Amino acid sequence: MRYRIPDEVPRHRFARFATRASAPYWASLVGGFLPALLWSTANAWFLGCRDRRWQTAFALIGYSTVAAIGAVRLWLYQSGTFETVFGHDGRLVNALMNSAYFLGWLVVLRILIGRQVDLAAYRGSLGKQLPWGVVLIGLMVLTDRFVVPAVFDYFNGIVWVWGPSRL
Amino acid sequence: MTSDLFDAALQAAEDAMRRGSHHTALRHFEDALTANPESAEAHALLSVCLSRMNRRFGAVEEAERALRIDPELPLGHIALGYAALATGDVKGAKAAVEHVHRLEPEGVSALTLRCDIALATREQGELKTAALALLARAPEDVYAICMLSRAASLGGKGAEAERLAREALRIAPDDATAHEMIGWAFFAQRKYRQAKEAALSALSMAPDNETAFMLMAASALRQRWLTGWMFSFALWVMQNSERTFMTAVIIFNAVLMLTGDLLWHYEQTPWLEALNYGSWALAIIALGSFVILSRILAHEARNVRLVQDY
Repeated sequence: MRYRIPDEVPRHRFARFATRASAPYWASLVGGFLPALLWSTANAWFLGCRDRRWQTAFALIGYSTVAAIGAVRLWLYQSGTFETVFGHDGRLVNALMNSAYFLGWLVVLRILIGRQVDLAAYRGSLGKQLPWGVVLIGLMVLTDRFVVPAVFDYFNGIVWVWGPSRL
Repeated sequence: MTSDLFDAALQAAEDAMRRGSHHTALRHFEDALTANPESAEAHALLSVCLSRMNRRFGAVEEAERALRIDPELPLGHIALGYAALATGDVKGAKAAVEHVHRLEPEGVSALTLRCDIALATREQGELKTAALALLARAPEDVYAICMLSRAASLGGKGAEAERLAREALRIAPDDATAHEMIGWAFFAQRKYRQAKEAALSALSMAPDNETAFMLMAASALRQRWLTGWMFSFALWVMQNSERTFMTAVIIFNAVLMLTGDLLWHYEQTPWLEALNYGSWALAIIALGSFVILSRILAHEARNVRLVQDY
């Protein structure tokens, strides 16, 4: 039998669910960070990254760290500690900490996606381009707009769990 | 009889690879591996061939097959190193170089891979060291001369880079890498017209060469002294990949948010509004410049032709 050179197709299970690496990054700006982080981590497995286990561990540590900053900020804000310690400038410190929280999320996602970009670009060059995951982005936006505020009524503080969105 | 078939097919495959006829080489590799599917060397060479064709999944699979048959085959580790480099795994590629250097201290294949890694990571000093070591072992090696030329142009020594690239072109006038290297040497000396001609020559022989395309793009924009600067950001992002773009977005957001926080705290509402509208305008201009730049480059890339004398 004639030897067959391997076809240029990914050999991982669920490879068909992979999307462009940057899609979760841009989606996070409109739909919150936790789902974008979960999506990005899953994408590392769908793409078949060599360091997908490292990426999963990093996502867990990154999420814990940034969500903790959000929780601490919320607790300090609600307890009035900012005003007590910094006086009138307390609201500025609160705003700066909130910005740092937002940027922290972007950095975590950027590190994850930076490790997927090459492989995703290559997968996209093999015939059919990888999709943007528009349905997933739509679901994230709907959840961010309707489900999160509804849950917020019962569980004060869901924002630091879900992560803020800019729109 | 089978052994003769195998030897002839493998030799033909190696010759085809040397000529750059990778599709022809694949057919010979199939013949060789049909005759002897257990040849680790044939699997490793096939992997290198697939890497050169940018067929990454196949390259990894063939390299792993070679190493399963013979775990200590230097060529198998080199093949795995190239496959790792193609998938962006620089650490894996460097580990392959180390391993092969231990197995084969006098071999040149580890040095060639070392040059490729340094070129991919733009480590100028490391590129020069590896190229000099390669040249010491193979004095007429065109690739080593090309890498020395690139190290010189990365260090801003345009005249020296040009001299080396001309030497490489004297030995191999049809070598796409040599044409690209003389292009980078011209670029370092601000001779943008010649740099673009050299890039187009390299692209005429190797249409998928991304670095030659970037050289062509950078030279074409530098020639447009009145309007080229408008595309500087788009070109910078194109040259540095999507990662850099995402990092730029984070830095842009950081400046925007922190400035916004300060303006909001000190109740500078008009400035806050100006910042808001200004950032949207900047984002739209940046995106627009991407679209226009892509059209300009697509137009320029149509003019590929081989120039023999610069």
